[in-house]
Formats: sequence, structure tokens, C-alpha cells
Amino acid sequence: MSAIETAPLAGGARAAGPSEFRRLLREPSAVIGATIVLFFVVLALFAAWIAPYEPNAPDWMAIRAAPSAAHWFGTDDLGRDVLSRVIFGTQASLAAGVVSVSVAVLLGLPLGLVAGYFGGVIDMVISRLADALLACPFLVLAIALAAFLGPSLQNAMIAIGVSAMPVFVRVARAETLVVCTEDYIAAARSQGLRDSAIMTGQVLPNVLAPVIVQATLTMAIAVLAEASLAFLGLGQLPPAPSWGSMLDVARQFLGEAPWMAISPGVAIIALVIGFNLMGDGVNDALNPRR
Amino acid sequence: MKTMLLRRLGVLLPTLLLVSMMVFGLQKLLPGDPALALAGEERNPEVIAYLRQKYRFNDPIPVQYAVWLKGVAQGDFGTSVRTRLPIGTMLLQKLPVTFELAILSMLFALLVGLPIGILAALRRGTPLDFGASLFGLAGLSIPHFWLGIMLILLFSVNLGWLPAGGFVPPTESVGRNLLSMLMPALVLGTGTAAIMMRHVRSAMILAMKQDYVRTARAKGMRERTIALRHALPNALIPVVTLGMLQFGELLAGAVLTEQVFSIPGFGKMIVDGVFSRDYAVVQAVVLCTAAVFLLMNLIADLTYVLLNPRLRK
Amino acid sequence: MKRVGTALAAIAMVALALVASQANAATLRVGIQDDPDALDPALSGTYAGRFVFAALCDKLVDISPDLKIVPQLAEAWEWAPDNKSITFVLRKNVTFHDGTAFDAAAVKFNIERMKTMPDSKRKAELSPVASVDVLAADKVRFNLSEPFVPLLANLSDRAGMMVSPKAAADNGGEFAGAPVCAGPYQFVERKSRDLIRLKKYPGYWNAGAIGYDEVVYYYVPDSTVRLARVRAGDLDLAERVSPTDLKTVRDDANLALHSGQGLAVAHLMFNVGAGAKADTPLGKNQTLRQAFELALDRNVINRVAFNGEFLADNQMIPPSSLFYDHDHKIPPRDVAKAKAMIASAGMTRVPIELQYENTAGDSRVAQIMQSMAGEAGFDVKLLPMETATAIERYLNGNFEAYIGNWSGRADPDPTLIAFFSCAGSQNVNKYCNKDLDAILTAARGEADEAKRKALYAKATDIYLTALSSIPLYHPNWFFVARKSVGGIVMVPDGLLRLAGVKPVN
Repeated sequence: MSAIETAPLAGGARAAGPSEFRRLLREPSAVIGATIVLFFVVLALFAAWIAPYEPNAPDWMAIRAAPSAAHWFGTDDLGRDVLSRVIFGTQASLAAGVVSVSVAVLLGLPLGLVAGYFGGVIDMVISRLADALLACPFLVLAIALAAFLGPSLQNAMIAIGVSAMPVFVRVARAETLVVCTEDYIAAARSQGLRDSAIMTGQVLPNVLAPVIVQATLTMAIAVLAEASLAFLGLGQLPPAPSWGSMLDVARQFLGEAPWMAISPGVAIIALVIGFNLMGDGVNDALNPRR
Repeated sequence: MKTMLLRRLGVLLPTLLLVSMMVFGLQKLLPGDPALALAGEERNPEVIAYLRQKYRFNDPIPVQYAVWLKGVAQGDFGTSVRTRLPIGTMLLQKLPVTFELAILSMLFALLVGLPIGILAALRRGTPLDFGASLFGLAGLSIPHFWLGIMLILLFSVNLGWLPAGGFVPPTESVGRNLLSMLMPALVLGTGTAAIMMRHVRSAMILAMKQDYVRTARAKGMRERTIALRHALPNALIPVVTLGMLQFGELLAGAVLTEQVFSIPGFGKMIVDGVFSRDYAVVQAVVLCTAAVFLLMNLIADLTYVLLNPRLRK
Repeated sequence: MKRVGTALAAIAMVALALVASQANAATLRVGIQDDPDALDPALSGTYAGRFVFAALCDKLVDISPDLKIVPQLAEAWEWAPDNKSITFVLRKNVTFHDGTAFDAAAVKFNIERMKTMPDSKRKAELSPVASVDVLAADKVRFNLSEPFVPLLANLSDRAGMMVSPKAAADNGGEFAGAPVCAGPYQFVERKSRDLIRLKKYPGYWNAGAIGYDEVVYYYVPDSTVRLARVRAGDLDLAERVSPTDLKTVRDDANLALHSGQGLAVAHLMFNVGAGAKADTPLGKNQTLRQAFELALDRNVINRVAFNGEFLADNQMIPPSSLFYDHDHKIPPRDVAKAKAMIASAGMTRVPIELQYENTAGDSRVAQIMQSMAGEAGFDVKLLPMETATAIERYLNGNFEAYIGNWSGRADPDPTLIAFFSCAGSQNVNKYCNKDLDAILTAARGEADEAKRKALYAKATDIYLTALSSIPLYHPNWFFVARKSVGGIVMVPDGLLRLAGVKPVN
């Protein structure tokens, strides 16, 4: 999974405004993607009402039961309802997607802005650091970080966020460089406005578009990364339901209870497709190709 | 060209140093005392003190780092604290395995992704194109490890056609080696195939819009000849570059695939190293992966320039 | 014509020889669950290491399937009347893999090496050994600082493994990279986390019993994959089949299931005296711990987590041991009584944090215990963590409750002393009872079996009342092997011994 697949850079993107939003609504992939994501958001928010069983309630008599009317997706190795666990697992995956990316943006965007705006030594230092982080393959870095911090959902999100940060530094920096050549920046400077005011007031809004595109695409990667970390035993650990750790356990029972492995995987795919479609749609809307 | 090459090489080393410093520093954040973890079931304070002293766990971090760096410069990556085996040897044993996996995956990606992408570009807007887009989307969205598990379920557990994991070195049996690598390469290569497909499709579409294509059409050349002989070579240039970058990604992505299929490669080494608090192993693996990654980036950029006559000046 | 005949005959003979040699070049491919650590008996601390040592390094004595001490490198032994020294008569004409002779001097060298090497893990096992005297080339005497009955059991494990003094001296710290011992197989190569290759040592004292020319141990951590590879014929044998896979083995005509009772024990340990985390209701109150035990149904744990294939038990040593106390039966589940006991302590809900390694088995056991104890009024908070962190926190006493896995020993002493004596190496929860200490110390010096049994009965009484650790079950050993592998004998330590293992048709 490539974290390097950055959005088409500089020059083509414009500020995200009302006309862009309307174009977004007309892009079929954006709409479909957003619908899928919305579906999962609803699942996550209303899990307690939607799920037929408690996700952690074991049933010693119904261990590894095949899908049936009572348990649509079957039960797992402790007799817990797989459907309910998949529904509750949405919370962890969505949280991972949103929080990790937020961390990455909150760290990367300011750094990229500052690097592009001031240039010189500051730019060199920040760029070198970002390059060094980018030199480590994304998953390797996330694994190392998550393992250092200790296995938990929060730490996994931090790890993924930090690993994804350098891409946002790059994107923000590249866009800032372009924006800084615009007239209105020079005008603001001649007006005597402070740098911080210019950066937040003039540069930032115009840099957001590619960052948003990248953020949406990165959410898909973040969901996959969280599942991967959980699968390796570095994310949310059982008994809390998490699609990745459910798959790790399911591996031991492939012959006896294949349904344990199928549904969490399908859920991951669906959510990731949703984010990917959204990302493509947002990209097409904000960077119209003639 | 030469100046660019020299400049890039010059940046490579400091970047690697920076990487090594970051990884080294992060490891020390690791909760817990490695000496304690190594002391084993029967804890003995003397043993723990000795281990701390032997592996310099008590020294200040910059000192530990300097010692390690000096060793690496001489080609000595240290010894695995767990097995007392030299890490350099471990790296040499495992690199070829992951390399083979990455190469086979790349082959699969090219064999599947390129044709589909080209066809989709040429039959734009048709159901074939739509199908290709779906394939592209699926390839990006399916988690490696799940695909691996599903394939094992189908081909090993149910059908019994393929081995459920494990690695047979080519020196022992080429046939069984390829058989054991079949599913892993497929799994690892799917994501890359999707990416390659998307890129070659965009590149082909772009290439088919160029002036020289219009000229060729006006001259009465057949669509097929135009596509294959004129547009395709130009479309492939960015794809080659992408391929090299992706190769670096494959090496990293191998972690999960190696875990699912129990392949004794590079990727697994880092997971194992972290879990057993074998600091030196983690450092060595991250450093090597970063080095390969940077090298592939460099080669990719060079190839791009070489292949693109316009950029040569 | 005659020349053609001779030529044909010659070719036939060469061909036959080739075929015959191929047939004899039999390799035993074994799948193991963990990658061994350092292959040096003085340094090794993993179970996987012991597994490989069973083929690589012979010991002074061995244990039989019924836990008796039997000769290996030592032919006979005799305790002095005061039990403070023991004399071994060593086997003759034994050589190490490098050709050097095994003799009393080598024994002395090895014991001293294991006692003095700075990071040796064998110091506790050999602590009562004060000195070793070479009486003759084949006679050696161990002098003890106090009577120590478990010595022979310890010498049947890593503490008794003999390495070549020459190799140890020559290689020093690098010995683990190329170990030289006196076992049936010698070291060929090792690929970290991949395989360990051994080949038959022609000079082995019992070479006639060795059926395979080569043994290769393949590291395959996933038990399902391990089994799949045996079924596919990629491996000949795999250790530790998951209890949930046993049906598959039993149904497959090409496979044979070898099972045996084990020495290991899984237990729930409460922090009763180590630092701040001991300040919990369960840590302070023995009645509450007894209530916790009554809230559990060990048979359900066994059934749900292990398909009923393990042995639910309430004692730290297995029933196969002579010193197991059959009078202390497993108490049946009694939720009502547990609730009453909690009430008598003045509480309704009792909180506790349960820490454990995030492995498949422990994970399931923890969740089952949480659910069952919850019914009686215990609010169990689960804290899974990855193995290295879990072990490190365990050794530091940084836990409220912890699921421990102890591989067990042939003699009860190492287990009980380690866990229940005030200075025990595994007593990380700081349980201390002077009376129990006295009994255990006396038992360790008591040569009379009946008297020793009585002492251990008393000890069991004490620790089952205090319940600083609640034993849960003993894992049984399950090997799966292709029917072509014959002569496998299961021993309670779960290690594969290669003597007598031969290919069959």
C-alpha cells in the first residue's frame, strides 16, 4: 500500500469553495464513497442499538457455530456473535482512520507550511527530517512505533499518524511554495502583516485542497494499517472487537470456522473502498482534468 | 546528470544517518528493561547486571549509538542478543528471500496490471474499462493479510493444491520454491498490480492525446500500431519509475505476507526483533530497508531522466 | 558379450548402491513452534532450545516416560550415606562431536563453566554443588553444600548437558554459533528463525539406535500451518498441535497422533506482596482468593479453550508425579458460596486487573475467567500485552493478577521452591510462609520417598489454602507425525528423543 501516492501536486488545485463542493456532489465516486463511509459511521455511532448481541458476551454452548438464523455471521471461538463484533469493530477502524489522519495533518501541515513559507535553513531541516521519515517504509515505521509505544488502539493511531505525517509535510510544502508566488501574498507582506497572520489567513486556506485530497486517501491507508497492526498484535488487543485482531484469531480456525475470517475482511474492504472512492471523487472535483 | 547523481548520493548518507538516529532514539523509549527480558525464566540479579554491562544498556544513549555506528561502518551489525548469532549473517540469509518475494510480486503486478491498464485506456468508457477500475479499486482496498488467509483457505485447506506456508529455498527445489511463493507473490503483488494498472491507464490516455498520435492517425496508421508502437513506449516511462518506487514498497509490505505465510524473510525479522527486545536487530533491519528504499528512489529518478530524452540536458 | 555383461552388472551395482544410499539418506523434518535462543546449554532459557538439545547434547542422566532417572552419559551413580555427595560412573568410549574424549575432567569443566559463566542461567539449578572431584577418568564426584535430592532431576536437563571443553575454550562467547556436544546428532548449520540442521554423529555411543541421517528443525510458529505442512508431506513431524486441530489429525489416515501428559502448568498468580500492586482485595485476602477459585470451573476452561484435550487440575505438579497429592481434589464450581465469601469480606463487587500474554491460549483462558468470575461478583479487567512486556512486568511484580505458564520439571522441588519459598526465583508475587519454607527445604533433603511424599502433602495443604497462585490446568503434549516415522515415545517433558526413531514403511 503506497503512502507515496500523493495527490497530483501544485498548480492545478484551487481553494475549496462552494462551487467545488457542488462539483463534488456531482462526482459519482465521491457520492458512492461518502455513502459507504456514512453507512459505517452510522454503524459505529449506533452500534449498541444495531448489534443483536453484546460483542464480548461469550456463549460456551455455541462455540464456533456456523452462520444461522440466531447468528447471521456465526460465532467465534468463545461463542461470541461475529456480526455484533464486526459492528462494534467499526468504531475502532473509523477512529483509526479519522484520528490517525488528524494526527498526521496536525503535525504535517504546519511543518510543511512553515518550511515552504520561510525557506532557507528551516526548510532544509524540516525537509531532511521528513525525507528521513519517508525513507522508512510506512508499515515498517508504524510497526516499530506501535511496538515501542505498546499495543493499544491509541498507540496504534499515534504510530500511524506519525508515520503518515511526512507525506503531508511534502504536500503542504509544495503547495505553499506555489501559493507564495501569488500576488496577494506579496501584497499582504507589503501591507506589513505579520508572518503568522499571512500564513494562517492567506496561505492556509489556499493550501487546503490537496491536503484534503491526501487526507481522504490516507484515511483508507490508515484503516488498513490499523487492521494490519491489530493483526500483528500491535493494535487493539482482544477481547475488544477489532477487525484486524479478529482476523488474527480466525487464522487458527480456518478449517473449522471459516466464517470467522470472512466477515471482518469484507468489512475492511468495504470501508477502505468507501474512503478510496471518496478520495478519488474529491481529487477529481478539486483537480478537474480537461 | 552526473551532478544530479552526485548530489543525490551526497544526500543519501546523511539521510540514512538521520534514520538510524531516529530508530536508535525511539528504541530507548521502549518500556522495559531488555536485560530483564533476556535473563529468562530463572531471574538472577548477577546475570541481569552482567547482561546490562555486556550490552552497555547502562551507558548514555549517545555513547551506545556511537559504538553501534562504529561497528556498522566496519560491516559489523552486532550480535542478536537472543540467539548470539551475528546479525550480518541473519541479514544475508533473509534478504534474498524477501527479494525473491518482491521480484515475483512485481512480475505478477506487471503481467497483470500492465495489460489491463493498457486495454482499459484503449477501450475507455466501455464495460472493460469499468471492470478494470473496479479491479484497481479492489486491489488497493483488500488487505494483504486477509487475501492471504482467504487464498490459504481455498487452495490449501479446501483444495489442498498449494502449501499453506513455509519457504523452500530454490537451492533445494526450484519447483517447490515457486509453488510455495505462488500465493505470497499473488497476495503481495495485487496491490501493486492495481497501482500499476491505474498509472499505465492514465499514462496511456495521456499519451494517446499527444500531437504525434494525431499526426500518426492522420497519416492513416492503424489504431493498434499507434497504440503499441508510439503511445505505449512513452506511457511506460513513468510506469518504470513507478515500478522502482513500488519495489521499495514491496519490500516493506512483505511484512504481513511473510507473517501469514511463515516465510523467513526480512519483514518478519523486524516484528520478531521488536517483540524480543532485540534492539540491534531492529536497528539493522530498519537501516537496511531505508537504504534499499533510498537506493530504489535514486535509481528510479535516474531511470526517469535516462529514459526521458527531454530531461537529459 | 562377456564384457557387456560385466559392464551391465557394474552399472546395476552402482545404480543399486545409489538407490540404497538414497534410501539411507533419510532426513527427519521437524516443525517447531518457537525459534530457540542461544544454543548453549549454559545460556539457553527457551523450551525450543531444549527441544533441539534433545538431539544435539546428551546429558549425564535422562528421565524415562514414567519420570524415573535413567542413565545417559553416566552409567551409574551412588549417593553417599550423608547425602552430601554423589559419585557418578561415566560411560566409556564416549566422544564429543569434535572427537575429543568425554571423561570426568570434561564433567568437571562443564559444571564449573555453568556455575561461573557470568550470564549462565544454570546457577540456581547447580547452587548446592560446592565442588566437583575427578576420581578417575570415568569416575566423578559432586560435593554438595547440603543434601539436595532434586540434583539428578536437574542433571537430566540443561544443567547436565555436556559440551566439549576444547570447543568451549576455543570459541568462547561464539560457542552458541557452532555448538559441540556429545549427542546423537551434530550441528551443521542454523538460519535464524528458519531452520536448524543437524547430521548424524557416527561416533555416538548408541549409534545403532539412530535411524535418521539428518534432522532439520523448521521454525513454523503457526500451529495450523505446521499441521498443514505435515499433512502435505513437507514435514515429517510437528510438535504442539493445537487442541482444536486434533480431530483433523485423527481423521487423516497418513498421520499418527502421539500424545502424552505433560509436566507444565498454567496458573493464575496473585500479587500478594510485591509493591503497590499487591494492595488489592484479592492480594490481601486469602478468603477472596478462595472465592475466586470457587467461581471458576476448570473443566469449562479446558473444554472451551482447549477442546477438553488438556488436564484441568488444581495443583502445581502434574498427577503423573509421585508426589502429587490425590487427597486434594479439584473443588467443584460454587458461585453461591463464592458470593457468600465475598459478602463475608464486606464487599459485593471485587475489582482485579488480569494481565497476560496475548497468545491464543492465554487470551481465551483470560476471557473465560473474566466471564465466570464476573458471575460471582469479581470485576475482572483484562490487560493483554505482548510477550516480552508481559514477562518483564511479571518479573518486576508489576501486576495484580497474571496468567503464568511454567514448563515444569521432573522433580517437584524446582517448581514448588521456585514459586512458594520466600526466596524462590519465580516467587515474583512475594508470597512468604516460613512454615512452608521449612517443609520444602526438608523435603529437598529427604531421600526416603514416603517421608518426602508426606512432606509435600503438607506443603500442598498450605499453598492450596493460601492460593497465592491458583493452578488451572496442565497442557498435554501432542505430536503429529507421518505414519512413516516410527519409534516415537512421548515423555512428560514433551521433548522428542531421537533414539529409536526410525523410518518405517
